[in-house]
Amino acid sequence: MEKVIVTEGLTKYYGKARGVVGLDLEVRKGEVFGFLGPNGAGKTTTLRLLLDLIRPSSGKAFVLGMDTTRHSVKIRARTGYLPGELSLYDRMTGEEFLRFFARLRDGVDWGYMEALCRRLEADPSLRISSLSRGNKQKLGLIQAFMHRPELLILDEPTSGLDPLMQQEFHRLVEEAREEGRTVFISSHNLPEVEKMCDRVAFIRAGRLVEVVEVASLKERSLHRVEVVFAAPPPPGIFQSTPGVLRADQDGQTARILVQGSMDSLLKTLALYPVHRLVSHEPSLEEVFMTYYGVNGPPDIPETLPDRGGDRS
Amino acid sequence: MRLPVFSRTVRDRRRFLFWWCVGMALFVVSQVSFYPSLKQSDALRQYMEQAPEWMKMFTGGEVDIVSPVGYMNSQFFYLMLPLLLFIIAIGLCSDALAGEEARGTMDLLLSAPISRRRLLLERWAASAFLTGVISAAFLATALLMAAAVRMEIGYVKMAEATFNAFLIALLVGTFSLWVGAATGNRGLSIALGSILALASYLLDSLGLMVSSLAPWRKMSVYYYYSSNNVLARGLKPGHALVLLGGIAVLLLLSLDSFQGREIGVRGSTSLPLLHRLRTGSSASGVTRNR
Repeated sequence: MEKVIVTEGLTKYYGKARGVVGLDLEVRKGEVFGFLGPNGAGKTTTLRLLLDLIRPSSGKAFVLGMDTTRHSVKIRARTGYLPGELSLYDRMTGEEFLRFFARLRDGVDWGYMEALCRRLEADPSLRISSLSRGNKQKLGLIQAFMHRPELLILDEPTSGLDPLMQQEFHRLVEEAREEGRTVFISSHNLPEVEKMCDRVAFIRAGRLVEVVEVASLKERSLHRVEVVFAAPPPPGIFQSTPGVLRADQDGQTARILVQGSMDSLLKTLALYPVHRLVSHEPSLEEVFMTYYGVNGPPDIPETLPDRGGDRS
Repeated sequence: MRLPVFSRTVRDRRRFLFWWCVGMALFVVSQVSFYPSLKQSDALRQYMEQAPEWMKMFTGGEVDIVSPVGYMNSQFFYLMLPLLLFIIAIGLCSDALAGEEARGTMDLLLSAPISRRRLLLERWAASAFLTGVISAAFLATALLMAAAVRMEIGYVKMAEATFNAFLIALLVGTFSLWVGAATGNRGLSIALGSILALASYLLDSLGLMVSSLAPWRKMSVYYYYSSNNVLARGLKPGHALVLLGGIAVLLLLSLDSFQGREIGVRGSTSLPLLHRLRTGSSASGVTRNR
């Protein structure tokens, strides 16, 4: 199978500060690939290495079969990129901005661009400085999609988008997949990645933890469920329920951690009068804890330094 | 040939360009319109003849500020015109790369299929073009005003002297561009550009007054701008070549540094040439992180 992105021992240090270490990744043609990790894990560093904005300390990266440090212009002609910390030209209008980027590229179909603007409900006649964060994000997305690139590299693409626009964005990604194009998405939001992606790479503290099929991820996905019963149920009712990892009962309330299918839990609950049922998606940190143990793999510290971004 | 970055940069700067041209014209009008009354004033001439030595620093050693050439030199070419053009060129060139990086838009711009070399050259050319247009606005107004007050001055010499000021400004601007290309630090780019301009001006001017500094004057790029009195004698090819050569060298250094620049990484400096000289290797794209 054709590989669109290949990294071989890709390593980046900023002076002594760690970016990514020994990253080996393969992204196949036509897949939607999620790149998941907490803030500061090295996601943005990896994406910026792929675009040759920064250079590897060691190791190599190939995009569309070409070395990123040698053929960057050719790679970028066939790639669409959305930066994680999106900054736009404040003094331009949306249209001026999009026309400028269309001129930097060849073969942008203006009709398609207008269709993208309509779909994402972006008004390109407004000055960029007057736009909200979400509306700026839309312009960034349109700019990445407008030339129908073979590869899309998107850093936290849905940040700032309202749920309706997130849906529209998911459809854009789905269309790209149907057209056989490849999408590489970084995120710290597991449910979102599960919705869109075929495979997910987990990265933590600069190192690749695991690459998994999303289908297999769903089987072990975690949910935190809080149940309020109409009357206190007998203790220990969840002991033999498959999928329940932990259950804390406190009078009428039970807090339950479930892995995989919720089916067995619901059937157990059906035997008792339930007043209220709330399900939370677990945080990425909880997922890491559950998958990789409380302390994680040996070289990963338990608490992650949160620098508010992946750049150092 | 399509020059998307060049044309976009010039368009984005159209207000800047307009107001600088207006300001330059008003400055020229205000200065030259005093000339007729000054010409008849013996008091000033006497004052200048008795003026202390250090006063000459501000007039380029000219005692005669009443003749057309002396007046134009003292009012514009010796200090004010290059100073204004320095401000313009440093502002534009520091913004060209470092400003783009500071605003965070460099990531997006360099995700488009444009090589770093081309981006740098188009941005530099736009900065040179804008500085050139403002210089031309100065020249046009100065010639019109000179004609209006019947000041006898050669058109060609005026054009040569203005071009000379444009060259020294572009040299200082290109130095700022290099600092910006190597560090991505706009403040540093402005500061070092201004220091180069100020230090070379001071060295040249003091060298004129202080005999022990005289041999050092040639170390100052300002010497190659000011020492020849271009308005009286015309552009000296040797001096113009020094300025043009300096621009070319700084442009090459900028290209070299920008090629190795780690975009958005604060505190990193890209001086691949220096690195190659030190290690004797031919590795490119080497960036030093502090």
